[in-house]
Amino acid sequence: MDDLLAEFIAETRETLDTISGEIVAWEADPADRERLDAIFRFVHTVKGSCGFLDLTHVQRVAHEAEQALSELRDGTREPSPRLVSAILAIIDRIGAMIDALESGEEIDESIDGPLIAALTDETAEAEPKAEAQQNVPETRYPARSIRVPLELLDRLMGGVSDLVLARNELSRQLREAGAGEQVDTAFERMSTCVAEIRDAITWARMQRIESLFAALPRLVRDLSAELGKSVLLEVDGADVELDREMIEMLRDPLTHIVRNALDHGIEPPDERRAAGKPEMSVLRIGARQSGNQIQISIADDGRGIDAEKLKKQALANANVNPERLEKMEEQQLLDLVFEPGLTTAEAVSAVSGRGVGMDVVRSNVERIGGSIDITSTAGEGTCFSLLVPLTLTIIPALICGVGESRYAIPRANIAEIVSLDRDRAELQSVGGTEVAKIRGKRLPVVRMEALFGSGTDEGHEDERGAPKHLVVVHSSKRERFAVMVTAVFDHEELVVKPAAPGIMQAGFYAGTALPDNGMPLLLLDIAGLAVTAGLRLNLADTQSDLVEQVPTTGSDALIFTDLDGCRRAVRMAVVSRIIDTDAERIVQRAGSLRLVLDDETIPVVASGTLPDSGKLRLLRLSDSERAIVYAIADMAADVGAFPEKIDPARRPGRVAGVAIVDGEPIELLDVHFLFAEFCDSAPAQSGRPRCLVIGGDDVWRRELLAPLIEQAGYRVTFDESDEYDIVIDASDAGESLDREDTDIVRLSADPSPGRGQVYRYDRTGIVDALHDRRKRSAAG
Amino acid sequence: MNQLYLVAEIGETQFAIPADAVQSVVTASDIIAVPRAAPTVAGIAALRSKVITVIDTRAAIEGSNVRAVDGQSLIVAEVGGYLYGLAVDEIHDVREHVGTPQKLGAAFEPGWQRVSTGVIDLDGAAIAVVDPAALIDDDHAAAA
Repeated sequence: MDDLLAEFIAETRETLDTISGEIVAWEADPADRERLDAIFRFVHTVKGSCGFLDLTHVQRVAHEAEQALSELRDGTREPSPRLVSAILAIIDRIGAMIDALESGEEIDESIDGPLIAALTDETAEAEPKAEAQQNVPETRYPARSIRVPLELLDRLMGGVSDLVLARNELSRQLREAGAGEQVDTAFERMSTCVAEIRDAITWARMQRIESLFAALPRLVRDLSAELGKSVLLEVDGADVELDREMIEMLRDPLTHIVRNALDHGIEPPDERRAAGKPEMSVLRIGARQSGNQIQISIADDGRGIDAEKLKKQALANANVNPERLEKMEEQQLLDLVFEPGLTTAEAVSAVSGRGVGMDVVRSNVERIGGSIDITSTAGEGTCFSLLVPLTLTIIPALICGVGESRYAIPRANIAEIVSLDRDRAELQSVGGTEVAKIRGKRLPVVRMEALFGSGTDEGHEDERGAPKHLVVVHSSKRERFAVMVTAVFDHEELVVKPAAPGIMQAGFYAGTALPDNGMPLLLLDIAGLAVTAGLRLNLADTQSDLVEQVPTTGSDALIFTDLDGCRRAVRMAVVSRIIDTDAERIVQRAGSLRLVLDDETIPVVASGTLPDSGKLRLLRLSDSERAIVYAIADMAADVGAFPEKIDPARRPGRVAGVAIVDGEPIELLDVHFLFAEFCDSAPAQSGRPRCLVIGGDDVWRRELLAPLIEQAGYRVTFDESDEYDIVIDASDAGESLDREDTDIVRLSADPSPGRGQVYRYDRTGIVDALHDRRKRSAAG
Repeated sequence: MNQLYLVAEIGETQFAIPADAVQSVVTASDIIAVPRAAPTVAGIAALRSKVITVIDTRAAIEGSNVRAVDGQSLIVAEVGGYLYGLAVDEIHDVREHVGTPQKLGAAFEPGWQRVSTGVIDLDGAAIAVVDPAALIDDDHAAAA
């Protein structure tokens, strides 16, 4: 409500400013119809908004003025000078009341009586104008928000991008010239500022999703009245923020889904009664942020989608292969609603089902880099969930090479990267299409070079020699395929701009970007790629073939050869990107090895000797706040499933444990240890109490428990010789405890733990117990 | 009516573009090819912090095979909210011309007929005035 009020205040003040000229002109010539209309519109708008915002007093005042103005417009009254000044006094009064609203002052309602009286009683000897002006405060409160055209923000964004490029150039030159520490420090400060401005401008374009949801209650009310259904709308997560442009792009798809839900999804009341459901149906719309994506779900409790009916429809439509249809599972059948020309509506109604179907919704959502999924249970309801990026402007992407060229693939679409020259994937030909078999799962393959038409005979010869990678991508939850590229380079955050129509007509570009190296890049549109390569309808059956054989894997791991020749692995989730750099960029500063990048220096961890010159590959590991880089030897690193069985190391160190991957022993890096050891400690850390963790399974306490404790504001140590404030015992309940200390937080694997113990997955319980012990030890 | 024109050359042919349609002239470098784009699109290139779409002017007018060469001059113009770089072999001069352009004679080839709005007389030579927007309108270019 506060936002709406602020918006109202800003808007009213803005119009007041613009119509003040009109008012003066109207005063001079009260017969001027155009000016009269402008003033009438203003008063009318104020009245309407006040009604909405429940500002009854302002509404009443505005209403009186509107009444008088409308009589003037009808010609039932003549604009006498006294009436004109009475109306002007009211407009001034509205301005004063707006000021009072903003500063939170009480509105003095007593003075409005004479003002209103002056409107009707032209003989009244009132001096309303003078009186009103006394009430205008001397100091106008500065507005807390201003309206800015989007183009200005775009221009700012463009300017900042220029600034970033200029800074990178300067950085290169400074490095070559060796400008000295003072210049470096100044430059670093500037870099930080630039990064901050860039963030701020990105955020300036953000808007609460509320503005998208605001139209829904009315839509649902009107539609349900029209259809004779009773629907309760529940909206959740209206405070989630996303890019303004994104909100506009989502408006149509969302409206369409809501219309469909009301028209087809939700049954008429008698049908609901017959099915034993409450007459009042519920439509739930929710938004939430997950990472740099926003998930919007629209769920109804209606009749659900009848997969068999869809199948019949699809058969009648003849654009789907009948044999293929027979083989489809229910979920794949449901996905048919996104195919052109399919609807379950029996009759075309006024509300929806006019052929503009879910296929349009899907392509609209995909155009903005999102995906849409459907789940439905017959008789219980349907849920659509949309996953869209937070912003259209900055997209994390993977840069891949195809032949001589480079392209970017949105990170959000990438499932994994498989290198072909290591026998991790096998290429087969099935029924004329090429498929890749990866861990027992078959995926269709798109050869980028062939698609781009650069694959001449000669080119194919080259191709065979070149190392190839498969980038496994998904354009929705179930639609997966592999894109064959010749090289995988780097992760980068790209500022993406729409591409010219002549480029977009290819059908598989999402836009252009200019990365920090200044060479323009094309961002690929994965959904468009699937369509262009003719994969869309083939996907379902190629995947279902072997779907049972897919091993259930947890997270992914990046497997690499370390500087000392050992094969090691690290959890993919903590690798933010792979950096290839010159060895000269690593310098000894502040007592540790550091990598100098354009806008930061990062601590370097090397488990062997770093080469003095030449190229170097580094893994940038991030704990979402701080980063370290880990030097590796091999120029190629593989992605594989994270091993399920890990034998923990005997003592804490860089290696957390060892696992067997493809018959080969692989050491797993202990990222937590690396951060604790090598990362610049944040200043706030030193003031935090230290918590000693004893006992328990090493993986569990490091991977699961330690982050929880740190989140609660403690430092974690596993070393009993360290100083500590509190102790947490992670060993299981039944084990004998050699410490008698009652101040120890004891964890148990039993969900209903014994006295003095906390269940090890009871987050709040653990945190509360820690805080409690901490207070006690501080008091003692 | 006085109007400034930028005179440029493709092949052996000179043509003029109204100067107020031109944002700047730059030298092409690092043109990145765009597979399966419109037949007139030679690629994309960086112009400061922006990405411009490079159009092979000759291909757009004469329908020849598209090719982009680093070192060619690019006439930067904005059409429909997008920035384009029109690749030409040579940039001559900015010239002032008095009077409105004459209608194009039938002797001009269809490609020129399509992109040109008229002819102006400079130093006794008839030079076609080219409308950047018509040059970029790829529906027609594909047919040409």
